[in-house]
Amino acid sequence: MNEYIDWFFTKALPLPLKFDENEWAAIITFVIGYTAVFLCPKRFSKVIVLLLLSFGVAASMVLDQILAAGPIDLYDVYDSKKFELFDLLIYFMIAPFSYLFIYFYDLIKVKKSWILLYLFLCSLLAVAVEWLFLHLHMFTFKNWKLVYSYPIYLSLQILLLLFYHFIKKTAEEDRLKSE
Amino acid sequence: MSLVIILSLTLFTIVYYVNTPKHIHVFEMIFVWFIFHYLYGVYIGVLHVNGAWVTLSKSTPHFLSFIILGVVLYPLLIVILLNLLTAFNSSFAKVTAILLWVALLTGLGKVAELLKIYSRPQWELWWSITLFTAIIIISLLAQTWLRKKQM
Repeated sequence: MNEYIDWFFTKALPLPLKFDENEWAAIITFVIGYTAVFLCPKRFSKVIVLLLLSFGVAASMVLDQILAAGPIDLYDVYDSKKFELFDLLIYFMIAPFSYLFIYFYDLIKVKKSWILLYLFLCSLLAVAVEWLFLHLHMFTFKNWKLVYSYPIYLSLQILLLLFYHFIKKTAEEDRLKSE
Repeated sequence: MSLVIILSLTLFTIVYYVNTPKHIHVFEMIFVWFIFHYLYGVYIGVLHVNGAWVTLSKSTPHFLSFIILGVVLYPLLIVILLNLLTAFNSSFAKVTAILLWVALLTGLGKVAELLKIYSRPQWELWWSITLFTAIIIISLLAQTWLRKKQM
């Protein structure tokens, strides 16, 4: 039994070799992110919240598969080449960002003429957060540059906005049908 | 060649699903899709990045085929299965469909290997069977859980 536990934490999902700033940053961001999600006054149904959170997890996972895991290999997550136990946490850590992006979009009721500015500022903020994470060694760039992240965040946020409008419209149609 | 085959299979599957009566809600479909991506990401992380049990091809068409498989074809097949399971009333039909799907997904993995999209020299067949059974059960649980939340 001990052999399997040992194999799991050394080969399959290794623990970090050094528990340093990147692991702490992940834990702190995770706690702050989900505290913000739970403390923000309710604006959406539970299902919409779940979908918005899972969008962040899935989108970051797919992007990392394409850009970091495959032959392109542009960056590493954390400071290790291995997929560590803490990598499981990092994707859940990203989820509150996608939720809060839509939360504030809905809260301040961004008008059509201001959407471009909202997207511009949020993508800029996302790059700033990534810069901070980079300095905390949550990413190790190989052939990637911080500036490349801007169009990626912009595209993801446009996709997230379209996704939000789609699920909002579907939920509204369901509500009308059930009445 | 691998890209042509995987892309054609994916397009045929999309056309089939678009023309099939839907028994699951679009939110359930999206949620299961997202859950699958997370599980698939962990699978790649553990088996490709850490264990080297799966070695991805370095050629671009092979890698694109691999991405299409993981991002579209596999999750779509899982969604089609959940749609069928919701439509079926008898337990026998449900179990048969699950067994057929495990065989289909395992077979698809073997086809991908034959097309040299990835190589798995130390891979055992029962690993695929266990993996896909687990993915199907988790997807089914996720769909049922979301359905309860929607009510």
